[in-house]
Amino acid sequence: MDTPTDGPGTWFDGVNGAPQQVTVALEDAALAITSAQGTTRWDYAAVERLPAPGHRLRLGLARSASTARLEVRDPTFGEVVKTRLDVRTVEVEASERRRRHRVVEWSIAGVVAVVLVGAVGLPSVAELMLPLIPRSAETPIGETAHAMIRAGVEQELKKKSLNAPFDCGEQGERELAGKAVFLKMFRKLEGAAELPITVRPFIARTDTINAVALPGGIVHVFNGIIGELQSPDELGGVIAHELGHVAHRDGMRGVLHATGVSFLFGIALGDVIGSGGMTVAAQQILNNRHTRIEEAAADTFSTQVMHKLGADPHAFANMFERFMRAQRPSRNMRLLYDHPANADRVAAIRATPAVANPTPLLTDQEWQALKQACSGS
Amino acid sequence: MSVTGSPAAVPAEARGQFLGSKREYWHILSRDALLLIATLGLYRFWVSTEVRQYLWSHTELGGEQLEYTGDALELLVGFLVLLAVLGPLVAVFAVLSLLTGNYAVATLASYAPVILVVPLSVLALYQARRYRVNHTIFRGLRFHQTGSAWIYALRMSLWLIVNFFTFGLSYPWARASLERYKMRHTFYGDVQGSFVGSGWPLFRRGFIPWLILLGPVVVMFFMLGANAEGATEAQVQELAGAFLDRSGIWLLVAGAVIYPIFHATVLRWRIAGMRFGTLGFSSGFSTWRVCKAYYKFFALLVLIGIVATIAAVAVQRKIVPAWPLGTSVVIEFIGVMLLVIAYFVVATMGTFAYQGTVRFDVWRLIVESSTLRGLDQIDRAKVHAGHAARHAGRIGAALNLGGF
Repeated sequence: MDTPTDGPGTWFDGVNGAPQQVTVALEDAALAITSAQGTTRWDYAAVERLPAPGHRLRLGLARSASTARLEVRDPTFGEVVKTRLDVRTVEVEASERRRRHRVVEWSIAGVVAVVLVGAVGLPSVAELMLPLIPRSAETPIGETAHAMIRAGVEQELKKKSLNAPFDCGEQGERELAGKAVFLKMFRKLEGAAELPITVRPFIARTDTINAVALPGGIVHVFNGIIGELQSPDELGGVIAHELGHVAHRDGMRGVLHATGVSFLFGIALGDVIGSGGMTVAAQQILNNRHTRIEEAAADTFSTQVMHKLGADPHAFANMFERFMRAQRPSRNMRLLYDHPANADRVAAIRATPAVANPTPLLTDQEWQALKQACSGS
Repeated sequence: MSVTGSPAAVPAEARGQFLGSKREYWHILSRDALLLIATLGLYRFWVSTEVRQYLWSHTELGGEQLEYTGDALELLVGFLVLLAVLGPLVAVFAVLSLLTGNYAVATLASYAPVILVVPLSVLALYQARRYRVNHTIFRGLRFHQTGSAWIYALRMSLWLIVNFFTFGLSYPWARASLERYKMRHTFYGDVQGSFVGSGWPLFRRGFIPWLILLGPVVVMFFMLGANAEGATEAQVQELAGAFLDRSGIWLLVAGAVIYPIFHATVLRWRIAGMRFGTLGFSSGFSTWRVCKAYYKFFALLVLIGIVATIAAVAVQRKIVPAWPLGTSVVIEFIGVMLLVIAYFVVATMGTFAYQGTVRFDVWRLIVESSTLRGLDQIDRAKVHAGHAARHAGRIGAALNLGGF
């Protein structure tokens, strides 16, 4: 059977909107498209197949701004045209596939790079940058964080219709006396810690059980934790732990690291626009690893300061044991838990040298007075 | 009658036809899903390009198919340019929020990226349409969009304010105004588009759905106002909280039922108002079939939510406790990576659920039910010499916004 060398086609010349019925002839090197207006020749090598439904063959010029299109709707003749194009078409399709594979490979490489940079590179960079940043530069950052915590606490107080300020120790005699004891104890610990900057201590009027060290040497001891503690040396351990964070500049390191992580993930994954959840999750987990090491170092610092003052460096561990008995942090939450497993911390604290006959940091009377620092009177 | 050479007699009316099948469409989506996850979403530009190529090329109007000539790599480049501009901006805001030491400034700066994204999205909406329009070919002629994204964004913002203060009642006129702007700046070859729809018909059809959806919220809002008179600050806060909770739940539930109806109404109105010269369209698809596509999508979302929750709980219970945390940095990285991948799996499933239901079904519905009148207009259309800008709108298009 003879293969036809010409057949019918529909021609869109790229200039007029009206389709034209044309005759398509298969010449040696080119498709000859003949309409009433004349003949157009398309080199086989320049022709590309375009997406079309069913058996329809749709052709255009590859890498060309021309919008001229040729359609062959007769399936038999279409197959014949295809055999003339095949080499070229296969080539184009293969290069498209190659290009696509390259994109996928590079994306995967990019993802791996982002994770490595986020997990290994950024902490190292933060570590390198830290000595270059003067302590004084931490102050405005600490002030911002301080203002945010203060605003949060004050909102909470307002909700409870309490018209009390964020700082404890300013509302009446008992508060004043309590704050005075607190400050005395704090300065004693600070002296033993030998920090390069002066710390600004606050007792925050909130029931949250926590204490935080902010960049620039601002330390918040939340009243909630004071209420939970059973001896002055437990509080001493908590404060000395926070002073450890100040000494090691953990707040600033955290800021550098967190900014880097969120920026990196945000940029790399286009998070600027959406999917913020993932940045936060990645940050949480990567930071988490970081804080574990820092918390352990601050614990060690705490025991050293307490040891120096002849107080009980292990009292801090008692607090953890009590918390663990009262409310075991569920293992479910460990992936996102902010502190290293408390049992590990207790063991590490207990492994440090003990003080044979510890002298408590405060007398019983002073301790009772301190506990009244947020009494509101 | 001549067969070759001169065009055949033009029928006054022609119908649309969709030649694709859902099986082929899902085939494209499922093939792309793995690549999308492996590249943490960067492959989305190829997915949207392939999806458009498929939908366009399987759509026939008056016997001729559409063609999409967009290039995924161009979108990727647009996206990178966007990042290069936004990245430093976001960094500046981040530094500002840290360094000021002022609570108000810090709060404002931390919200700045979000505030930035809103006007940007509006701009991108017009630019993304420009990209789609400029890369659509029909009968060998390109469509083309002119006009300024800034002016469009400004109009849209002003109308948003008006809509807000009229509880959405001005929406039909807002929409008509925006459609007029878009269509006036859209060309097929040298034929200028226009929009002849007016606000009233849409208002009449949309009023009942509006009443059902927003009526209760408005009533609740005025009740809040009445109750709040003479109440203490704490009481007002409590009342406002209750109002937000209740209206939020109502909007979610009633919105899920009513939004598809609303969408179908607006679509029919928009299609009926579109003109290219004397070429006009109408589309008589049934509202119920649009609703069905949406309800399928919502059901899939619920299903994905349930599966993801069960999987998350199972991982929390069985795998996380056994995961040796805090012992090795490498193991924690693997944990982070797995979490990120899980996030993308869920996000991809959600997106594809939409693509496979609402996107595909509504597209097919519109095409199959549409009628074109005055086809001789496209026969007389000529190429427009000035319309050749190939890369226009790619940055906006990279944000992947907008419908058709």
